[in-house]
Amino acid sequence: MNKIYISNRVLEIIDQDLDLEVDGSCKITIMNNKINNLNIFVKKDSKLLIEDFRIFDKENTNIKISVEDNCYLNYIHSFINNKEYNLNILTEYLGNNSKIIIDINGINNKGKCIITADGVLGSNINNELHENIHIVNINKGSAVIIPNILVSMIPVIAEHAATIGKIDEDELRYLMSKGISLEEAKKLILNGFLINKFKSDDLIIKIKEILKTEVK
Amino acid sequence: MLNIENLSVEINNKKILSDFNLKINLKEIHAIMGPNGIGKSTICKTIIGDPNYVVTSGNLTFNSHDLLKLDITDRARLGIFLVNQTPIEIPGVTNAEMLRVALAEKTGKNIGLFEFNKKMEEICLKLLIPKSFIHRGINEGMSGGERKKNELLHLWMFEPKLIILDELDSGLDIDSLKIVCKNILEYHKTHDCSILIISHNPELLASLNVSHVHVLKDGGLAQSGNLNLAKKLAKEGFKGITKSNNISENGKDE
Repeated sequence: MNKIYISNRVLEIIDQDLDLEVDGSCKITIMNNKINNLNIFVKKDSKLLIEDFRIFDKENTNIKISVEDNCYLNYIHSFINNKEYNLNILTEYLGNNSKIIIDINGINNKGKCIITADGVLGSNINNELHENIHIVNINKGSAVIIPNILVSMIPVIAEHAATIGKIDEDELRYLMSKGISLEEAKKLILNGFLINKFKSDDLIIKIKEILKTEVK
Repeated sequence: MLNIENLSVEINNKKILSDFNLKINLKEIHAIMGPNGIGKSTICKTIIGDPNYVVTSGNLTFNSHDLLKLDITDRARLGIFLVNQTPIEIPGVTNAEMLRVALAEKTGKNIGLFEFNKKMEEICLKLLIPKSFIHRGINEGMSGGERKKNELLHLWMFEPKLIILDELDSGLDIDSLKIVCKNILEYHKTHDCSILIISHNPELLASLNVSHVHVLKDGGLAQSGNLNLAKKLAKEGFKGITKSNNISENGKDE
């Protein structure tokens, strides 16, 4: 497994297995590249934004995030799964006063998807974990989300929000009431769902291009 | 323009409208008032073609088109436009994206970017909303008032022939309401269109120069008149009003 140390920079990950040490304010992008094992160690007082967009047929991804004191980390991941996806995310707090936000929006197209979100807040204090995982099943896709959050000391904030459903009927009706066909309305809603959480404008433009050319 | 004859409507097997009649001619502005939960919004949803509202009998035509044979998309393309009581938000889908797709599907050709942006910016100025609305997610993170203005942004782009306003004033402060009313009247003055408004507010109906006021009760029109009826209802309430059979096609008391 490759090991990289980054400090105050932007990195695009293309390796399937990677050990990463982060220091300062950094941004990591994963743009439609296969990821098997990604271990991220965030040093104290660091700020990290991870933006991960992928379309795949079959993928097993293990992500381990460890943070020291006073860190802020936001992992934003959206995907289209066409066959099988197993995602295991482990967040681990090695110090105090850190905040991790996990935002996952996935479209499960025909496939099966299992997401395990583990958080070990342990005996450290004033840490926060916010997990927001939303899966939309289309074409008979199915999904399971398994949260395991371990808290053994207060005060901490641990939050897990998850939904598995289909395309929102109200949103469809709203767009159709503007004269948009059912197919185009679905496309707009799903594309919006996929890009909604991302923060980097350049990345959003790239994703829109990919969705336009690769997704039917 | 819009002709509703003996329309009965159900939702979840519960009858909401029963033999409902209403005729709206070109350039007319009609208002429907009535107690809460009586089915006023059902009228709006039925006209636009919301599939949750099932028409069990009657006729519904718009400019000679049988609306009951058309789905929600086709009705919108004919020029029927609803400003919802609480417009929903669609995260990640911008106004510009939605409008470009809708206009392209309606006209069969892509609208030029320069022309599109120019028109959008002009409308933003008219509505006193920032240009950033153009590329914001539909109603995303917007206040009630901003959502209503955002809907008017869509209205000016689509240029509908029948505008349905469901509780226009909800979520709007006094200043925003003035801007919105002025804007709707400007649209009405400059376009061949009619308006149907659902509201409890006689002042709002007066500021929109409503020509016909109707009271909905027991699934049908119980009374019709002009703005004086709205003022009377504001004072006396809906008590004592019952559904009668003496309402003509265009809603006038006979």
